[in-house]
Amino acid sequence: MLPDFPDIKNQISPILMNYLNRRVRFHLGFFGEIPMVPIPEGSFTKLVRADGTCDDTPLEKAQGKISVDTTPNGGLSFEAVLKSIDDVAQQMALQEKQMLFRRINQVTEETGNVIDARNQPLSAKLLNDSLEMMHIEFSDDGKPHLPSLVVHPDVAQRLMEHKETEEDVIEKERQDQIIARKREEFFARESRRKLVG
Amino acid sequence: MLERVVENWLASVTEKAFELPLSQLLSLDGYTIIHIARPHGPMEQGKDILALTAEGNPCAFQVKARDLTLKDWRDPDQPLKGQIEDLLDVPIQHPAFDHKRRHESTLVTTGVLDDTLRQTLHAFNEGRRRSGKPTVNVLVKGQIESKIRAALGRFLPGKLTDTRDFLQLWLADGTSLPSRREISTLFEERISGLRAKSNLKEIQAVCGEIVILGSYLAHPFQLKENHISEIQVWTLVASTMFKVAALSRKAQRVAIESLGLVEYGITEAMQRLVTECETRRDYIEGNPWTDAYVYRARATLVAGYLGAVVLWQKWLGEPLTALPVFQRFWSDNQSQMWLWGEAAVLSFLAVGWAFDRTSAARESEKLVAQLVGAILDENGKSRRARPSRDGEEIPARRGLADPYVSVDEILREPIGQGNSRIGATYLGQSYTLESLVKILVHRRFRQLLQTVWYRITYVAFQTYRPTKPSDLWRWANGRKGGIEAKHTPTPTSWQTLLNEVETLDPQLSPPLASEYPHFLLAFLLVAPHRLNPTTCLTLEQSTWDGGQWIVGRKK
Repeated sequence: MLPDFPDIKNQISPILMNYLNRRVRFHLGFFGEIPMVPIPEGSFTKLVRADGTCDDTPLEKAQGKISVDTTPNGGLSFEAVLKSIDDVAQQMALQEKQMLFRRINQVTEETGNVIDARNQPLSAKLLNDSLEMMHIEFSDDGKPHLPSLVVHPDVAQRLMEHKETEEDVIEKERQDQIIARKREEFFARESRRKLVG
Repeated sequence: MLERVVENWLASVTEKAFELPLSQLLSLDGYTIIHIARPHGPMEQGKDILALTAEGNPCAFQVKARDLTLKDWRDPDQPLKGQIEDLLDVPIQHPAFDHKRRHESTLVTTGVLDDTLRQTLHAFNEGRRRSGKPTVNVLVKGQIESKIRAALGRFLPGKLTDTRDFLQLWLADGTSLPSRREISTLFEERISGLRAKSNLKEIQAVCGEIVILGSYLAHPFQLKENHISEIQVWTLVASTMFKVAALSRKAQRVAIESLGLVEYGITEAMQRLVTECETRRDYIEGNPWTDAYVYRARATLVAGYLGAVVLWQKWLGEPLTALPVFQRFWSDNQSQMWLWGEAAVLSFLAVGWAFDRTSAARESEKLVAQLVGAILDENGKSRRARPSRDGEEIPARRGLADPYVSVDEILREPIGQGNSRIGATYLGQSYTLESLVKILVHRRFRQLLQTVWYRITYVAFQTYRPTKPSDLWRWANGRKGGIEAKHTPTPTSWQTLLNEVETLDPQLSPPLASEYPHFLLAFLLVAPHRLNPTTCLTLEQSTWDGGQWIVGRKK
């Protein structure tokens, strides 16, 4: 064989893995902010909620293919390797996003937390309808942790350009009422976090 | 190449370290080991190992780990001749032996006898034979090598990867902690062919092989007198035996016999650890300049092991020689204890249990309460962040690493060498909090729990659930089993908690763990990710009294 540089390569390998990981998080976009919890052993996770309901989640695999030009003419450049890692990161992020959406759809359908807009455009009413069905957390001083809205870029553009209507004003009031009610529910939940009996 | 390893090992192994694998070799030859003399135990009149042959004849063995010459025979201080006469003529003092029956005597050495000694021994035996007295048998290096080769018969021509892995472990420099994952994988590979229906001979061969391989893997640490690492290697041998024992009643009988030898090996290493800590003026290793970075990790590890030695001695009914050493170490080093991750929880618990069972000090409750507080601070709901005085950005919290993360990995991170936990967070979860809660419930510390219960409800209790309980004796189960994340009910009933500590979950209990709590504690110190509410309560509820040495125990 030709001389190799195993020691330095052993050190670079984890750095490249780290880079791959960061790029996946980057390509996940909004979903990249979701905390990543290691599953060190086993092939499934089971969530037992405070109300005793359970949720079994099998582990799924996200994978990508790395290809780099190894011909003498093309040369093997580090930039090319980084580029191919980024390509893999994109593939993996896409798979992870699909998995997340699949899972969200499955869970919301199971729990009935789905609103069918029946081809109506996205509106404040629709958003409030969905807010009604959601579990919302609050900070200790009562500030709501409102959910993020994931929409197609075209819809996002339309929302940015949207001008306030009379219906929006009514829905704003409704939203305040929903949040006030959910705040009460939250504090009621909080007061149950104790040892009794 | 492995034959050279056998030879090198025999050339450097000490007498005491050789007794254990020799006992295993004798066991493979059909002997039942009844007693192994300990250096700190009473004198055995030249007898290091006592055993019964398959026919029930008593035997005594004296072990030497060097070449023997006529000079040894005539040594003015400890003549070998006198030792052999004691071996032959002083009756065996042991309740398992029939005093009226004459015992067979064997001198075993890992070296050779020089020609003059060989002739002298021949003449010595001839003389005794003529006077109707018993004679001594001799077992030397070449015969032992053959026995080892036979015992490792399945391993020697094994897969190249096994051989390479084995050699890497055998060539460890002996100063660090052992490569636990690699050692467990090697053992796991060796027992993977055993089934519930495997016959006695197969099971005996595998158990023998594991103990002999364990002797080899413990050797680098024995040479460096790195006792904690040696204990860890033996503990991994023990956990493999427990895994075998779970296969069938037959397998259990064989595995427990080998486990008895491992119990002896661990006890010896523990005693040496105590002796070392007793005589040391400080606990620094190597270059003090760099040792400052790792000192707290070592102090935490040593405190946990000294606590475990106290409990181990108590369980076996031995004098508590470790207690004053443990107490002194704690008084000098408790400020150095470091909860570097959830894997360190076990060291704190071992200290607490050792105090509990030997004094009225309430050290244990204090420690458990501190652990609960620390986990809630690190992994629980964040308190409102206050900007620091100098306006520095507050670093994002990640929580205490789960117990699968080793201290090595934690130490590497601040110097840019840690890569295994990239992007991971442990907030909102804990693998050890439920166990700690169960200890407090078991001790009826309701008021204390009441003050922190709100914060506890924000942390999910994580538990690894194996496919089979015996998998809990394994270091790693790959994709077998799964992780359960459980949120406490709101509100939580105190009565339900009380009921839970009274009924242990059998799925989370490694088989035989409650019968051998000392092994369970040693295993959890090596494999802290096996701490779960059931293993924790098994140790919490143990009185650490009434244990018996496995070797020599009535069956």
